[in-house]
Amino acid sequence: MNDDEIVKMLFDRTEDSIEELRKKYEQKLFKISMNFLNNKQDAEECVNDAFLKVWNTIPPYRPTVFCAYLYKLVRNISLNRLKAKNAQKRGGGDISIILEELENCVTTTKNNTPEELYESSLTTKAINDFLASLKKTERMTFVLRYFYGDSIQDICQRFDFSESKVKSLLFRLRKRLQVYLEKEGVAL
Amino acid sequence: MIDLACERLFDSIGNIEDEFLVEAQSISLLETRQDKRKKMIKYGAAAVPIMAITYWYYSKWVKGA
Repeated sequence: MNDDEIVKMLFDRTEDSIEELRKKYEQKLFKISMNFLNNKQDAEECVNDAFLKVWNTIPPYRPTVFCAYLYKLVRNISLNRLKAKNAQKRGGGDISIILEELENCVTTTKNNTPEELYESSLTTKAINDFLASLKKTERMTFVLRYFYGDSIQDICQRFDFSESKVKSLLFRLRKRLQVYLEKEGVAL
Repeated sequence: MIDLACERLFDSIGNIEDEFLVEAQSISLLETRQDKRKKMIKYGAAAVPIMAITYWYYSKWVKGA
């Protein structure tokens, strides 16, 4: 069943739509959640929360790209759960390593301001432009690592690359992002 | 502060365009291997005439002289 049909079922309030969602997306969403939480039970709960949120938000909301909406939803739910669980120290999955890696891209810091949301949208725009300027493989590697939280080993398997190749590619991409953000005057 | 800034960057990455998310999920290992194989065949096919010309040049002009 394609995504448009599932969305149509959701708009018709057909309960089978959740079953179809499970069939098509449960494994993928579980994997994304596991990348961040590294806990089977938590990941399952996050996936269920995501399905519930989909049921509650569609309708009236109609996502432009349904699968991307699901990926973003489960990522946010998983990260919120992780933050709630580990307010003091980070623990699950690869997230602490991912954040350490991203430190290289951050050169300036600011206090929280009322303009934070606006600045965040500028940052997202700059990242989108940066991603659009990359080659397809580079862009996919970056997104898999820093959006989906995939491990280096997962990325190696996906592209049939060696571990050192993926690590050096990610290192170069972070450097390029740092330079790009500086050039665009994006302050974080 | 670096931590907070990293989290902001990480959060901003969470809002990137949908097409990049779909693209990253679209490729499978099988496709990757097929792409690699295609490239090898392509470059292999290009190498054959180059090797033939090199051999011909070597045998006619270098070895023959």
